[in-house]
Amino acid sequence: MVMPVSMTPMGTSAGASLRGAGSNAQVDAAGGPSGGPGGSFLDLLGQATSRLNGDLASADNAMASFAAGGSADLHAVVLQMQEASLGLKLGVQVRDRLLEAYQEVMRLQV
Amino acid sequence: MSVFDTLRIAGSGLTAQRLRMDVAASNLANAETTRTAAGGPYQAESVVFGTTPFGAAGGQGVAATAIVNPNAGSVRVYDPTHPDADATGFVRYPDVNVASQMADLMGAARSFQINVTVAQAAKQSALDALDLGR
Repeated sequence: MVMPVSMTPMGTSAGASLRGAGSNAQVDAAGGPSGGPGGSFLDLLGQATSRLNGDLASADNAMASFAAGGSADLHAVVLQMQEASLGLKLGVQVRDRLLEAYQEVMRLQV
Repeated sequence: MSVFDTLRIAGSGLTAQRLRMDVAASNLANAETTRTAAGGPYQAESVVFGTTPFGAAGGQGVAATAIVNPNAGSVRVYDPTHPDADATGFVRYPDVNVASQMADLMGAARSFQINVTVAQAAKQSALDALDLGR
């Protein structure tokens, strides 16, 4: 539910960290610790994923309680589902970019 | 302001309009109710809307702040055969104007649709923004 404000920053920092992911992998291969001053990309990704999971779970709960005859408003349930669905779509976009970058690195001619 | 704030503001409008519909339904259902738990005829209700701050960027949602009894009083109708008639043969009916309640109901339904349209626009712009990354 706290997705909204962090949406744009998360997107940009994800992009910035994505570009840094290649050099980070090299550091890892050399045995050094990874992670920049603002937390590693993995941390950011983990936080975003857990928040997304929370969104999905609360939408699921709202739907279940409505179906069970709870007092929740129909439009509130639908809006919550939309928020979760938008968050999931954003997560899928981030994953797509991540895989793209990974494949780009794997295609490098050595 | 984030897209989700827009969605939530529209959602607060949906909730408020639903309450308005509930009140209109209650007034219409009780347009001829002559006895209540508090005694006397049913008192017509109405909704008062107020703003609530929403989100960090100064958005204003709507909240139904009060359901007031405007003390519209009652209408005295002469009907000595009615069980609730007083000694002089008058029955006190609630002062509910069915036509204006119906108009209010239609207004609430239209306002609900307006808020749904706002929510759809917010959702569509979020999806369009996601398409930007394709």
